[in-house]
Amino acid sequence: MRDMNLKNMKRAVLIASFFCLIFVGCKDDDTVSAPSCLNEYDLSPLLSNYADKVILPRYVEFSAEYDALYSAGQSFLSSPSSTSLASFQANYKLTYIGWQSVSPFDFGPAEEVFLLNTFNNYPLNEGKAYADALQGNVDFSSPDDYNKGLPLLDYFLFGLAADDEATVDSFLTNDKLVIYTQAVLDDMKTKLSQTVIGWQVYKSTFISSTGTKDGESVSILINAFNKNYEFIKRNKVGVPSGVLSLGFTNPKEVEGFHSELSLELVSAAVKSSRNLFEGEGTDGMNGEGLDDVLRSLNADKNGENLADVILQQYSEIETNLAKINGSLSTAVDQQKDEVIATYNSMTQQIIYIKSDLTSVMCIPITYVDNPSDSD
Amino acid sequence: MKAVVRFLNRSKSITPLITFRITYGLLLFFSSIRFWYQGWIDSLFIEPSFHFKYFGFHWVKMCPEVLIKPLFALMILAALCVAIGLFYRYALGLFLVLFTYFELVDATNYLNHHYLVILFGVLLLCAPAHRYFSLDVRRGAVIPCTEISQFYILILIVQIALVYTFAGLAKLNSDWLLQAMPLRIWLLEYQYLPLVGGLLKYTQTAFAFSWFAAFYDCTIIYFLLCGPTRRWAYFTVVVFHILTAVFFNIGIFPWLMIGSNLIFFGDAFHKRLYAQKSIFALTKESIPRVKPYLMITILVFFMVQLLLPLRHLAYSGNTMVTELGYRFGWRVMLLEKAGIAIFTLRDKDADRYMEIDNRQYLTEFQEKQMAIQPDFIVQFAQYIAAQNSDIVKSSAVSVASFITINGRVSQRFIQQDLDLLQVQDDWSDKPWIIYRSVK
Repeated sequence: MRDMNLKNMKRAVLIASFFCLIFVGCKDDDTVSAPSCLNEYDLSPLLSNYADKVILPRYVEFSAEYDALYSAGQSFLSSPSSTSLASFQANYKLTYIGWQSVSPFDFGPAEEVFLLNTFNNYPLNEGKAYADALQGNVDFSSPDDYNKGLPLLDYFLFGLAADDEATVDSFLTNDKLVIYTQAVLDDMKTKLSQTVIGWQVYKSTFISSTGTKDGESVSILINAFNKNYEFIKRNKVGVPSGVLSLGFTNPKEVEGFHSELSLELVSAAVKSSRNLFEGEGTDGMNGEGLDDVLRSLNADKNGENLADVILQQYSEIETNLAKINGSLSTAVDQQKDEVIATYNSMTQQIIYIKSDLTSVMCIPITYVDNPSDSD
Repeated sequence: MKAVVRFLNRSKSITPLITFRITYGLLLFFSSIRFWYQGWIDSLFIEPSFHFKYFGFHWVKMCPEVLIKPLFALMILAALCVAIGLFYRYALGLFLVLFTYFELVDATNYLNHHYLVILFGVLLLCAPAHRYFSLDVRRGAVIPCTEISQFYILILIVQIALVYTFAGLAKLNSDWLLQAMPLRIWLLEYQYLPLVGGLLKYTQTAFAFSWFAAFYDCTIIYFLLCGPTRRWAYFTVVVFHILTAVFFNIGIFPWLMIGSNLIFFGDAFHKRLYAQKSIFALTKESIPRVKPYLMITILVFFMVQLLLPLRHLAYSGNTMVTELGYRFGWRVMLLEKAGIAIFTLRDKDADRYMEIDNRQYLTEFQEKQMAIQPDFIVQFAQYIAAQNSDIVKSSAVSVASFITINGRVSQRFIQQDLDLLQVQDDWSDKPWIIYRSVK
């Protein structure tokens, strides 16, 4: 009996060793390009830089811009005049452009208060917004309503009446507009200050979450970065240009249509995205950013470092954007080729930042949780 | 030949089979409840407006929405009946039909271990696993027996052996052994775990895991078969599969293997489990012999399973990249793969085109799966054309498709500017897949 067992054991060991031999014999002859990954990579400096030098200062800067807009709004609403309107309009423009710098940070405290939906649910549903104003319906608790934020100011300050004088008149004669605009301004003010306060607490959580798993800071940051970028590409350029609608353009779908701010907004958004990629602070200092991670991982894309490939692509987008004149809403029809070229260069970048960057850093792209098991 | 038949018909205690039936039934009972509880009926069956299909099974349509949950409930009930051995054959048959239906209805959700559930089910359906320790015995519907042909035990063992061996062979590739990929990616995500977490950031740890897993899959079956090593082998099975359950969201697979591997233990072990419960089998009957037609059927069943995982050899390139012959091959945990697929619908008459917003037609999960699987890409292209046929009469659909595999930069996957409406989604080679092997 004992002998039998011994024999069986020997047989099992023999078979096992046979498979070991296969192991050794099975090495491929392919030249193996070592994939990167963040093994033994300390993400703390990166996260600190993003929190301390990029995100928080951008919120501080934007808050100042918003405060100026808010007080200009107060002045206009309490005594509508062409002077106070001009100041309100000018501050609106600065704020809308400034918004692009914080727009990518739709996570943590901002996500909790729906900051993105509060400030920039665009395109505005003009009919609903106007009806809500007349009915005095100032309930902005549903994040899915397209009746508020900066797009509403675009409409009320630039698109409600034929010219500035008529706009002032509307506000002078219709109290409902004043009340509604005030409520919209208050809504943004509340959510923004909640976000800024929230970040004081969230900051340490953000910096200390140094893993790579879905839900950890670097994953959140990269996903937000990508989502924001796709929004720029698809909504700000793609939809108006007609590439998503058989070439039939949608000039009214641009961001900041009435104020004719669309082109500046796209440029600001691209610049914001690029600075985020580089980890560039509001002080102009280029800190530890995603580009630095790619460099230290030696992420090679067709013989070049992926960081350089992405930066060159940003430059190409900027070059293409610079060829477009005036407002994007007229350009989609009058400068079709330039707009399409811009869109195509933006699409190319998606492949670099959504596919290549996440793959070499080994960060899964997960806008939502996997609704399934895997195997 | 006769000797083989005699060997297969050698009598053995029915108890290992009973343990298998109960673990299988209970596992599927609880995992189906979990599936419901997680909201996956809604997100995987009800929410999508389009469902991807397996080749040859396009005719399997999603049933009316009101029927989905009742059918699923019926399936859960059937699994429970299998466990307690009530109306065993009908319950198992019903369970299998429903389970297979829910698998076939959308190929997006393909999982190797769900395929294994079906195969185990088919084998169990042939076996008299209700003739001891079951309510069927208790209610007097079947004559109990304590001994059966060992054929019924052996076929389950062969099934398990096929799974492990092919899973092991699939791991013998350069990514797995020489790059520790994709475990490096996945283990890295678990740095926060207590005790082991600190080790997981090291590449060496990933290598140790990779090599051990490959060795385990290739050899465990022999250690389980061999008496003296069995206890230790089973202990390894438990540790290994619990580790995989901790690290990866692979659903019931670890528990399925931990449960089904009990089949390797001898009669003595299993008899002890039922020692006090002899009440369910008072009489003893002569052992029914296995009919030749069943033996031949099962032989064919295994032949098919031997060939399916190898069919990828008929295609050029690496199946991990092309996905040609990938499914039903026990290629598990081999890939961290993601893709981008941007479709363009072209109106050939009007010289107009538009880019497709995938999310308008697919759920996020479907889009993710579609982007890396060529047959889905073709099916989706056809769906896009059909959905837009009112505005585009004469259409062509092309795709800009890029995939990343195991931490590499992306490569173009599908031939650019190819009209996907002109290609067939069948088992022939797909020469328009231009990314074929990893370097």
